[in-house]
Amino acid sequence: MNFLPFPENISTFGVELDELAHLITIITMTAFVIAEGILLYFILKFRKKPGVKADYIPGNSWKQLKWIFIPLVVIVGLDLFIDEKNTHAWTLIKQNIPEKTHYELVEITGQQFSWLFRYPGRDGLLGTSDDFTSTNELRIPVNETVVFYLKAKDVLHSFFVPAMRFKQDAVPGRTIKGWFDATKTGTYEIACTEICGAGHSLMKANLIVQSKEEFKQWFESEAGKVTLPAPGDKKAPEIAPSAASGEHNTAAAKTEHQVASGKDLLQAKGCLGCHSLDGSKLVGPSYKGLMGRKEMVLTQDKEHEVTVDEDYLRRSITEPNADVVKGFSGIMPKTPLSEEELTAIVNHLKDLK
Amino acid sequence: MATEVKQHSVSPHNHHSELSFWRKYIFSTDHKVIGMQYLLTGLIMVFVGGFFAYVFRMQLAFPGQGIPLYGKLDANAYNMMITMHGTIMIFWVAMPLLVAAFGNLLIPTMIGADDMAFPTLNMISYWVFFISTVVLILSMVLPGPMAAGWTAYPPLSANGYPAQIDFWGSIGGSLWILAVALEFVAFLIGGINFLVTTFNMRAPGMKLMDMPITVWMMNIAVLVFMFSVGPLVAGAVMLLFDRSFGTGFYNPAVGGDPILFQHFFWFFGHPEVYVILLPGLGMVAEVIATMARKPLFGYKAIIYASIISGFLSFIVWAHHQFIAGIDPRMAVFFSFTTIMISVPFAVWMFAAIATLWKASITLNTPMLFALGFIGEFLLGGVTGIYLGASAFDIYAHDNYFVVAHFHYALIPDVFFGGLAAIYFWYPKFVGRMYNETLGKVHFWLTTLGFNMIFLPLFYNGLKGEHRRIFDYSAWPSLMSADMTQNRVIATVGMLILCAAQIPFVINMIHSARKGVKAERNPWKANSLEWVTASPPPHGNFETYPSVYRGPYEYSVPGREEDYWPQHLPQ
Repeated sequence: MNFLPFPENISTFGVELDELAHLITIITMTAFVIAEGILLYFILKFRKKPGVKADYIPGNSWKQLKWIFIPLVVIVGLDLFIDEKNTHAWTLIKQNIPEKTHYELVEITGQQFSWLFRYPGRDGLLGTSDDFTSTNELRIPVNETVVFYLKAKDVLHSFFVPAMRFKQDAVPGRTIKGWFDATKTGTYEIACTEICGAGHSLMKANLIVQSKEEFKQWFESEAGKVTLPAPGDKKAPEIAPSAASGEHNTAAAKTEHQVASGKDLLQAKGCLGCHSLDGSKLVGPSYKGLMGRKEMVLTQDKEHEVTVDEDYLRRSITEPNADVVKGFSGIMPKTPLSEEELTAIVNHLKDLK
Repeated sequence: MATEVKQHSVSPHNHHSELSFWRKYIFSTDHKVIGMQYLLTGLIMVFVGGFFAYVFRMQLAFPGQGIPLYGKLDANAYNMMITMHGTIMIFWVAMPLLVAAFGNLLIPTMIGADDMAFPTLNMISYWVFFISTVVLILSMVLPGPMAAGWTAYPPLSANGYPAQIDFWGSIGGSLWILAVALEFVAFLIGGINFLVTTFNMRAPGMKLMDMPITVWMMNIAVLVFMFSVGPLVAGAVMLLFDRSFGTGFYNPAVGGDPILFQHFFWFFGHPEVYVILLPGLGMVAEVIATMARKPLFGYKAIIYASIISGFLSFIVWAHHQFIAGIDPRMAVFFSFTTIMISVPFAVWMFAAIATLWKASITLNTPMLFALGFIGEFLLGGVTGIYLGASAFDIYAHDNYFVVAHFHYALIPDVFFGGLAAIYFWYPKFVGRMYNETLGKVHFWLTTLGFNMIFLPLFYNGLKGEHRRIFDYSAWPSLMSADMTQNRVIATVGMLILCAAQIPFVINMIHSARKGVKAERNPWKANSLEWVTASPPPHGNFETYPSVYRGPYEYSVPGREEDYWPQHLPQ
């Protein structure tokens, strides 16, 4: 039986959750309709009539109170029944998390206002130098158990995949393990459901469930793009990252002594979550053809035109909301960057055509 | 003992005529004036909180378009408004209206006392509350208002870590924390007063089990409030320090934990639901018993059930945090307690319905609102079972299903319950009758508007509509025809609900001036507040009543009258 207006379910455990919801609906709605029916019937039936006095029924003896205690026992029984079914579903989804598998491992990081996904690379281990990342796009293979580690960089976020019936808050300073197993290929929405600032409404990612072959192909091609450092540099595998918040292992942190390229930084710092490279309009304006572009901006509510130059780019990163491009909202968070990193990013932005 | 205290405090009121206007109406120590001050402040704040709801519901139905009386809404203002809507409706409407206003008006008059035990403290309570209201309003207009939802979870509410301290630039949010803390101080003072008054100043002969159920509920409510509020005040101070002085109580990088605040918040936040709910239920029970001309069914069973629910309310809080990152094993326990807390409230609902069996019901405005409370609250109650089930909560948390659920719990309570109480005791405390026709129009429009808003939101919630989204246009899966249509229906419902309050305001103002003068006991009710004049004079009673029986002796066999006031000797 399927009468609740849920979106399509594509996870193995989602079935349990949907069944639980239907069970609760049948039980509670039956009780609800009976209670409302009796209430309405009494109101209609026992209206004031001339010369008719109400009955004196104080309800202080078992003989009278049984009329509320017998239904109460039924309710307790039904409550326990629901609770038992619930514990089963909950344990399956949140408590008994499978051991990590090989490819199907990913680190998910929420940040204002995008989702960052880090894959383990060819060695199948997160936290090693062959990891690769993507922003706002999570690819997983169908019919495989995917184990993930959920983190947050700045504030609370909540990782919600309606089609998977899955949600988990991402908390700074914590790494929360979870799992799911998709049963159908396709593209689905991933939302942030914990208010995280002005851009919360736009914090969205796509879940792309692919066939095993397609996924493998994509994975290999992405893994192949990773430029590995000299063999001696390889860090020890590390699954559970350190507890310190803001300490986010990214592609940028690959090489410690030398500043990562501007291109990598855009990815690592989450810039690409809001600014596209292909000209499409996301949360913020696109990077495509940025240098020399004329933009109408609002500076303290006054509108004027600027031509994008190096100074403007620097200011827009260090003081994100000083000049806000018309048609966008001033919601960009300040991102802590070293002077070298800032220069690398600005130089890279200048080159983007 | 009880008699002694009362008699000591009776004498000073013999020369009340000398009081100046200021002492009589503004800095008054009379519990009735203070109750009215709380009532009016609450009713003014309902329009502020309601205005925010109007603005953001318009935005949700018609995203990006200019909103009449406001203009274009942006994401920051939207987040501020949803925060303020929640804060105001709970702390500046429900609390002052149900607890402070009616507690003040009813406790002394129902137990036959001349005033509260500590009248000056009572006045201080209101004025601290008044200052908190001013601070709250300042917090909205000064820079950096709180925009992290009414739960104000850090790090967002602390402006992120490492703290970027901008004391003046974020003064609004800091004042918001201060306003909430001050408001708690006001209700702590008021709560102590309620307890002392109830336990020491009852009329001779009034045993605890002779008290009207309202007095019981008010006292259980303030006890629950007083035991739960401490941790949140401490938590709020820590949050204030984090955002204003750069401490790191909730900053994991220096050993703090953001989830700690959530525990502080909900350890208070969940009991708070019952703090609001119990007085509402109590007053509605008063109306139902009187208008049904029947004893309140299972008076003692209800009281015991309410005390049990008060205890249980302290061990359910983590159901707000099932998916917050707490140990998943905790959810099994909290899910069980949450589902079980439905039991005492089932007692309440069954008792209310059973009271109507073989009754003689008069369907006037207060009775309509009281029955509306029961009918609507049932839906709020049963949908709570869904959310108490932790596994379903994985899907429904921070979703419109939750929004619809708690509005179905709180609006029947605060709105329907509060209005039932306002209409029921209007003749007593204003001294004139309200207009019945306007009252009925008010009831039916309110019921229509309310259900139109929140029934469609249950549907949208099941479809996956998540909360606190400023503009759904960015979410293709939430822009299906049925869902956008539901958003419009909900907004139209909101407009109807707003319009429904026009007859109410007219009724209240017009009847206060032109209404038929009310007799002492227009409803032929039993409890002591109906013994005295309408409105009661300073000092409440011309002669102080003694009590001979419980408050619900309606339709006692063998008596000619269908009521038997508490103060009449055998």
